[in-house]
Amino acid sequence: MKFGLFSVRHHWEGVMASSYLVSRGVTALGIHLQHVCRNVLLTQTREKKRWMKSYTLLMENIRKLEGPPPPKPRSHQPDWDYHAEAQAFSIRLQENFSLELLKTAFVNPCYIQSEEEGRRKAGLEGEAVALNLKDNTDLRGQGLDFTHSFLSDWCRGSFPNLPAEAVTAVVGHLTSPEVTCHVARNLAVEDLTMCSQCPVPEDVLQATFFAVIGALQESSGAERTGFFLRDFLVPQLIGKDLFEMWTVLNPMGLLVEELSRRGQPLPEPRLTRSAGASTVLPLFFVGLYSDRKLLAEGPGETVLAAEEEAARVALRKLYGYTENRQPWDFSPQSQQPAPAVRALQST
Amino acid sequence: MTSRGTPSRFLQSVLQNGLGRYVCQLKRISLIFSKKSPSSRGVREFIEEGVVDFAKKNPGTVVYVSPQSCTTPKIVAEYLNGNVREEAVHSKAAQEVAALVQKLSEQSGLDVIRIRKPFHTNSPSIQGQWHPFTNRPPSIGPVQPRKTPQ
Amino acid sequence: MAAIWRNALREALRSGWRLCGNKFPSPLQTHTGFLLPVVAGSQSITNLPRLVPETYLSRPPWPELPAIDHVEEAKRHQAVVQKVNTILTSREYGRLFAVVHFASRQWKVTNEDLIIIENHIDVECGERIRLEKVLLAGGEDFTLIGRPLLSRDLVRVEATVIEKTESWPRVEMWFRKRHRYQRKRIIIQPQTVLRINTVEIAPNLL
Repeated sequence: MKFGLFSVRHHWEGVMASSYLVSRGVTALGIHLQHVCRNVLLTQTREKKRWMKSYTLLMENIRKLEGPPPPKPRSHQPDWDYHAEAQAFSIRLQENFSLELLKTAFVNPCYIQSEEEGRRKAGLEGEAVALNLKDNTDLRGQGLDFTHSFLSDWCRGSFPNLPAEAVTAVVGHLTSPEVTCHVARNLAVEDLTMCSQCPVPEDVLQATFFAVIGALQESSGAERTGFFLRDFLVPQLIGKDLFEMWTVLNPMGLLVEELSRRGQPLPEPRLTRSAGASTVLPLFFVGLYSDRKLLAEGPGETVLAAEEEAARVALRKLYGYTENRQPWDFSPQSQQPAPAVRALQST
Repeated sequence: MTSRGTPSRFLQSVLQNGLGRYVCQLKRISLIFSKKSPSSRGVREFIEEGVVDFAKKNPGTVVYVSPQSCTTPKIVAEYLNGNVREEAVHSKAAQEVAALVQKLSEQSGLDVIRIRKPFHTNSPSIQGQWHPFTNRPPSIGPVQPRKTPQ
Repeated sequence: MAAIWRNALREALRSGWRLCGNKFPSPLQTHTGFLLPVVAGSQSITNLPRLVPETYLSRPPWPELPAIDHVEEAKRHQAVVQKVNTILTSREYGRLFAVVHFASRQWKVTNEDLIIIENHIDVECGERIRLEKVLLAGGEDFTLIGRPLLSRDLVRVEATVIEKTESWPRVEMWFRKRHRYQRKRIIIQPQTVLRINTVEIAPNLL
């Protein structure tokens, strides 16, 4: 046995390539024996192995130099069935997608190009190169237009006093890459997207999301797509302030414009309260009065800052975008009131 | 470990779930087990009896059943927010596996760590947040107690 | 009778709040000897002679309030209730909040907010629940306070069950030094997350 030990240690490195069950430092079979191939038995010791530390440090260094492995798309990982995933996607969102439109919506032009290049490189020519897949450019355009129009209508309906620039700003924020990609990632659109790069870049993901909306519009109609947008895109506005989305450089000028448009007298700022004026943290409250009635009061570190803040508070009140406004109606579709068409028909 | 030594998060939901419509957060569940080993006996029984009913009850979740040669059977659950949870079901009974699968389907993928507050709201104040100047008559100068009329 | 008692009260106050043992003179005491003779009727307060000089403790620190006229009070209450009812009927309120008693705790709740409960409810995920024990409901300009609960026809608070999960594993450990005694237990609580969908108030106060 001892003789066997010595002789096998020499062959350790040599038999590595042909072995199928070698795991360094770990006993796989039995206590000390390991079948490497038919005639050779490797013995392993249970004591401390002198080569182990240097080996692990070496592998650590190699791993640190190379960095983490590149991410693989979910479709290239084990356990993936595209058709089942697409079906589950549609059922999970409680929507009735037509599966062909949905699958078309996930195909991006970059994917088609990369696949055709790959086929050309592999040697196929002529008709065999062309993929019989339609890409999602039309659906994307449709989805984008519908989203813009629906969100603008919704915004104007919820806030009738908001000016057009504010509506554009709000809709622009909701259709911005950050918000749409956040929604798309949390709805598992990224897994189903067919794209040449991994991880999917933001513009491609945004385009895929709009294509999905276009597909939904084609399959189920405008009303259901409207409810879809109301349930997934509109809640991203919760907790957001108007002036976070819409940059206004001169709120006082805007307020003066608004009040003159409504025919109300111009605002007069007055210092309402002050505290700690000569300290490091002064606090001033400036109230804006129109026709001797208080419009809004705002705090600030300097009198000018307080006046600007008061103008912003006044604008929020005028546009109806305060924190304690009436919350939006998210009631389920079955409980929605009957559409206006019926009322017209009855009269 | 103590709550100070472990990570913590605030109560939140994925994409304001429950507000517009409720979306089941489990997107994929894979049962990895061995065909012969005794530790996956519970999983095998669950697959014979309960997995089809579970898949029918949760049509929005894709169930993958993959027999492989593995030492410990496990269940891999993937959620909509990207989190992946792996649970080992080594030598568990079929009912335990079923209960575990049910629990994974009802969870959202957020981390199971200490939740700092048992509530979360985006509009904490409706009648206006109190600050030391509320309900005081306007005054300029240092904040002093009011002179009560005697 | 009430006038007599009121005067006796004023006398007790003027002679020293603390001298008469910080007690309100009861109607029975009006005839006892240690109080000044009661003057019924129209004699004004200030003309009465004082035996003890007036000090900081001569009268209680709270202001002397006039007597409550029940008819006027009822009218004022009616006016307030009318005002609140008009607000509710014309739906001029914005966001509403409610204080709800649920799972042995009270929560201040409004639309769109989240709550976590330390037990499982026998409800599937995604189903809507109505929270019935409402103690208080209000908006920006009004509040309705229940005694202790508000009526079910008045307020309606609806919630959806989002998630039924488990808490993080909490360690319960007992250790006594020098006695070789330690016990360790891991506690995992079932938890339910609710999303409050709506808080509605019906305009039927009267």
